[in-house]
Amino acid sequence: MKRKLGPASVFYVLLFLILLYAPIVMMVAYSFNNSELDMGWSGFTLRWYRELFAAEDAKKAVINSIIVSGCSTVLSVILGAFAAIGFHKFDFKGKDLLDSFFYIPTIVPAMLLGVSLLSLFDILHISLSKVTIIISHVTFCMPICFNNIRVALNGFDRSIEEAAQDLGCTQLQVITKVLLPNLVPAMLSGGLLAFTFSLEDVLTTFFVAGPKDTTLSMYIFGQMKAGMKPTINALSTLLIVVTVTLGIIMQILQNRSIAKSK
Amino acid sequence: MDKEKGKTKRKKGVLGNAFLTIGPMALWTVLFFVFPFIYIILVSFCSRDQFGNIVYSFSLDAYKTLTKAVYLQVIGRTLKMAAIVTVLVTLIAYPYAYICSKASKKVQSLLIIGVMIPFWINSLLRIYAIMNFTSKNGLINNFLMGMGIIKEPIQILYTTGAVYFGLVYSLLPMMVMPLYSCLEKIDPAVLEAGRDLGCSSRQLFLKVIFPLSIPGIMGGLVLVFVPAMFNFYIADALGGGKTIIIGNLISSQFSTAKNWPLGAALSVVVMLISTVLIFVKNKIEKARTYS
Repeated sequence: MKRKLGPASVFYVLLFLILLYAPIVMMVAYSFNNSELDMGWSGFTLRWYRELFAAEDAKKAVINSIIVSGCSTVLSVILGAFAAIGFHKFDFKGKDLLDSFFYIPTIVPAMLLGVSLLSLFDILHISLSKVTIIISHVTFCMPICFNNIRVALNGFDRSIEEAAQDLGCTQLQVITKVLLPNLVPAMLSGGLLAFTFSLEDVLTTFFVAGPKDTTLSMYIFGQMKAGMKPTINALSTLLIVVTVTLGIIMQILQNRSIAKSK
Repeated sequence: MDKEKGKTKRKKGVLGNAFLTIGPMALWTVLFFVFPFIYIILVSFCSRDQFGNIVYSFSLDAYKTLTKAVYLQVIGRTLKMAAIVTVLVTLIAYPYAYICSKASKKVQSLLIIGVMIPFWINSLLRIYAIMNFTSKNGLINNFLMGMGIIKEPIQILYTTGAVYFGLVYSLLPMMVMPLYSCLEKIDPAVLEAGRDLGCSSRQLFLKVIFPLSIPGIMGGLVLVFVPAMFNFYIADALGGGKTIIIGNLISSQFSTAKNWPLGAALSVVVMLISTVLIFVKNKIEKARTYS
């Protein structure tokens, strides 16, 4: 059934991909363009990168984002891994129900999560800060890590755990010496996924960020509303390089953790 | 949560540990997800005083306000926009997903990675790229002028058309992925059977392939329609603040306008729309797996 693609198909696929990539390629190209406003190509320059590195508010946004996404990722991986191990080791009534309950935060539109958390922080008199952003991000990143680690555990050979127990390992030792080392790839790939989700979030962060805690996405959003600037092209290019690299690492780790569990 | 506690008593030792491992995540989800959602539903039934403070007494004021023409218009416009975007995305994504599922394994994985990579990139950046793309000196205008279709650059950015373009562009992968994984699973034997029974290619598609791909379309529909209702930054950045959708309305109620009950009521309305969509999708998926 799998035949060679006809010329019409090839044409469609190429057109689709060109349209998908053209805006991104153009944005990257324009970050090296020596003209102030979008006036066409006028020579190669690194000026916008120099200006970007000199901008204090951009630097602050990067630092804020690293703190927020870093903390959210670490917390999400820890909480998610604990829960996934619990799901793997223990059986109880309502397990399936709890399982689907854990995924709901990822289905719910990010914006609704944002406004409802804003209301919660308001009624509890918690003032908005980096901490409130981290709390919000963990809420939707945790299920991602949980899912990744669960998938890895599902394929884990239980006889290895039994062997460890026969050799005198306590329950805790089985977890720390057998399960955890095998879960490292899944934890890393889940963590990377959580990190990218946290890094790119605007719809939730918009509501729960304090006035001084501008994350990178919020910074770009603010600049975008003011119009186009070549420095934002430069910042975007750098971010694309980072996220695509993270994406590739993630894919490799995921393949490895699937291969490991087989 | 409560169920779990009950079980702890019944099977002691083991479930004490289960609670220690699963408990933190369950507690977090209840505290920062369930509570706030219940609270936002409560707020939607409250009113506010002239200072914007919430008055905690039962009232349907917020919902009554929603029936005003201005708000109904925004809701109607948003639903129309989300529907059109979903149809466009489906029409563009379907051939791609179909061709993917027909290609050889190697080409398949290449084509899928091809759609996945832009998806990894921050959606905000993709929208910024669209700003560049649709601007006066952007690629679209240059292309159209080069082809001789237009003489002067036309205004695309900051129009409703640009918002549509941005939404379709950024939501395409969300439809390609579920459609592809659905089409790819179709058993070639079924297609051969159809051929043997004398189906033409067109009949084969309409009577066999398309019905089998409906769960994929439904999966994509939820992933496209729901974000299209909310994404206020696409409307803001590409529409230049002129295109107001539900997302903008909710965000302004919670920030500048300080009318939380109204924002909450709007949130409840879209939550209901999303839930109905997800419910219908699950129904169709179930019906398919049983048949």
